[in-house]
Amino acid sequence: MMPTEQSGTAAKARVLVVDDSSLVRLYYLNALKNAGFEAEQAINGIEAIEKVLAGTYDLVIVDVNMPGMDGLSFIRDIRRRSESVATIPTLIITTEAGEQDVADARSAGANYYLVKPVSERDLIRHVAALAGAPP
Amino acid sequence: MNALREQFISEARELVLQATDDLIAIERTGFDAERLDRVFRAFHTLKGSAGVVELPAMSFVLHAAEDLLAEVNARRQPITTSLVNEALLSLDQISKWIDDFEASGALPSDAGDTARKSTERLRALLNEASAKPVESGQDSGGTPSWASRLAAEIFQLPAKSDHNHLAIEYEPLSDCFFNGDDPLRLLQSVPNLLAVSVEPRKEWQRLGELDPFVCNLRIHAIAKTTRSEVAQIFRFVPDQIRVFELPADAATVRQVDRENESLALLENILARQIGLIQAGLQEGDFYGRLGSATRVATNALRHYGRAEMSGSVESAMEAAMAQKDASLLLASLQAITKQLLAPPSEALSENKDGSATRRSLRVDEARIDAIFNLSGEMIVARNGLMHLARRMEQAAHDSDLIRDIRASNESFGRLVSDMHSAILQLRMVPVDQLFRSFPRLVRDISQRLGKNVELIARGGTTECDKNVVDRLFEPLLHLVRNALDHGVESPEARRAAGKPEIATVTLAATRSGDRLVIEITDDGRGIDPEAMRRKAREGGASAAEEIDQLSDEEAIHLIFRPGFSTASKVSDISGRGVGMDVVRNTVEQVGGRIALASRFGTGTTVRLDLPISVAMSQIMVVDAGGQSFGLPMDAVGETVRLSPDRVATIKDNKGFVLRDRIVPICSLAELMGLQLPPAKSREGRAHLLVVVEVAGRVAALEVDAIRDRLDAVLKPMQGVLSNARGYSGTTVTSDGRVLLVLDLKEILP
Repeated sequence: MMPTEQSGTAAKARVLVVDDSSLVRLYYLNALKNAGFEAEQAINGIEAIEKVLAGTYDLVIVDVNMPGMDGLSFIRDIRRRSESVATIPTLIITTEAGEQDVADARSAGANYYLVKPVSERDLIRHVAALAGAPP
Repeated sequence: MNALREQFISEARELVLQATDDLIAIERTGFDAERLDRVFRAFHTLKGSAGVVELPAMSFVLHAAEDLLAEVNARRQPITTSLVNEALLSLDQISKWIDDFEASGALPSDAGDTARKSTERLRALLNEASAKPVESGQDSGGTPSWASRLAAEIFQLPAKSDHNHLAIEYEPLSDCFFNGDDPLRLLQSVPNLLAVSVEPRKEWQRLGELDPFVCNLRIHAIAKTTRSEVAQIFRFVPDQIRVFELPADAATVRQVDRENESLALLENILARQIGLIQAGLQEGDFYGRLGSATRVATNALRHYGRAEMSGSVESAMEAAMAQKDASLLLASLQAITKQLLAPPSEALSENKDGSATRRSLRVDEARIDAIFNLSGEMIVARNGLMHLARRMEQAAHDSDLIRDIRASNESFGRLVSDMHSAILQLRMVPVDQLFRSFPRLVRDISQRLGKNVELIARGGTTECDKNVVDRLFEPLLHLVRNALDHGVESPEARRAAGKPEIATVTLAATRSGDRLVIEITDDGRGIDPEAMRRKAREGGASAAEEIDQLSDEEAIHLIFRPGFSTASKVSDISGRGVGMDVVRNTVEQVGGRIALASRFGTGTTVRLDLPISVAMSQIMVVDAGGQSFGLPMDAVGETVRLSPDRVATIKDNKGFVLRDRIVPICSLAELMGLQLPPAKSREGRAHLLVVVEVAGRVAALEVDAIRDRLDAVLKPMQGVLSNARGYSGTTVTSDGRVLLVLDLKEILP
């Protein structure tokens, strides 16, 4: 199923998708753009940090497992930076939601987690709420 | 049994109860979107879980019930008594199966047949309202349930559209692949396809037996298109498709779903921000942690149209930053969550809240009972220590040592009794466990009696010891049945008496000190004292003049006499004969009292006054006829040593004057049917008496010796002794012997 005809809104929320798999990034980017979000991508935590330092984002969607710098380290890192970067809402995508995984995500400072596979509908619902898209 | 099964069983039972409550409420109140949604979700979750633990028969029935409810939800099926009956019957079947599954790990062998029959009954109801046979390409009149569900799945339906939304059901023939059909390609060519779901027509075979060349699919789709276009695309398979027009209200149904879902997501997001803050600070991330939580919370509130609440979060964040105190933000988020959750107040929903907000740990009852028993044994061991300390006092003369042992023994004793009361707390369960099966029972019974009754349950969160609660079900059931059968009048009689046609029966639990009070009140006809007197005369239980002298209140209390029943005809609801005396006995066995107040014409209240816990009993140990017995201390008034000349003999009875009052003397040995010591040896010796007061009667028990006092947890009589009257239980004494504790009410003449 696919969403259609996003009603035009004044300020589009900007979302950064961080995942090492190009297929996954494509899936998220398509879904986000179809739903009317502005979306950009990064292939790991290091590149993501460069991006968030350079631009402003309303939400970062980040995968747990990535080579280079993983999702949790990325979140831990940005939470200690200057105000506008430290407070960026983060959505972490995990493969598992065991107690430890959830505790790890919390302790790193993730605002929300979703467990794979994430359907398009679920993704958009959550992104819209977390990034504060207009009602 | 593995954890998954256990989880399934407890969850499934919970869901069945919840769905039952909601169904009954809906039957009474009519369409209630929120309740219906809860029922629907309960069935849906049950179906899913039954699938997980591989109970296909159960899933099968639930699936049919779910379809029926979806029709109700879409307002295409009215809420009728027969519908609620069928739904309740299917829940009954499910509970029975849950029991079977728990007992044997499987469903009975006839489960398949049973499931088919239940399903047929449910489907029959469904067919009455909708789903007439449809010709290809024709509108069926109603929207099938799958279509409304699929519509609810669509993320965004276009607001304005020139085209209708069509729901398409496509069942390719099983040999379609050999005809050159390609179902998925056909589907893809439908313009403006909004949603698709695919399911098997028949349950999938095992992978090894699966024939990949046989098409077993049922495809559902929603598209914004026209009938002619659909007809064109499926022109080679018109016999395999059905097309339905989605009515305008499909969107409103979806809207309700969407709102519930949104609220749930908003709550979830807030809960996770609370979790994020509670997880504690990591070095240097105070600002990032709190700031991002604040941003997410305000974003989510704004997104769901609650922007007015976000201001308070932002100011709480500022305060938290200024004072470097995360708890300020935490409190604000918690307050907002509470505000969002603010439930619609209603009598029955009261119990829901209590159980939902409290975090609890599921522990097997048996484990708690084991700890409880151990703590009981500890008390016995402690009593033993006390006994030793006393013996030492007599033997040794090292007073310092004895003092130390005493002191340590006392603090040990305090700890043991503290622990005991802590364990008693563990055994506390909400009375709701007892109350929650009553809405269903009252509904069924009043229906059978042709009466219209509303049950109000109050105070379900009041807690009480599990043992007490467990044993109250039967008496309570009896009392409620009585209220419905004998108390509540027929609708005609109520009208004639100028009462509202719907009678009210109230179950109310309150706590009063360390007592639990449960009151069962009905606004029925009350008890007629004259009828009670008449009945008593007929029964010949008492002399006629005695009966005439009874006050109205005393006459009403005749109902507690064994075998007494005023029901003019025997009914299958409350039967006849076994009655209030049994109720009273059960209540008294758990240490409770029962009281009754009734006004003829206005109604009856039965009040059960029960102990909140089975606390330790204080026991006095006495010897009589060469044996030791325990007397409950709360019955013992005082002990008296009486010189023989103060004993007065009136006819065959002995008695003595205690503070201007004549107290009868009974020999305990005699009461217990034990041999008395030869008369000579007792002559001239002082009488040792224990003055007891039971149920307003005072008597003095003559004993041979008075021994220790103990704190003890009474164990109920077991095995061959379980039916012996006159004993309230046993305990183990400090020297390891089993002590029988007497039930004085039973043994006093």
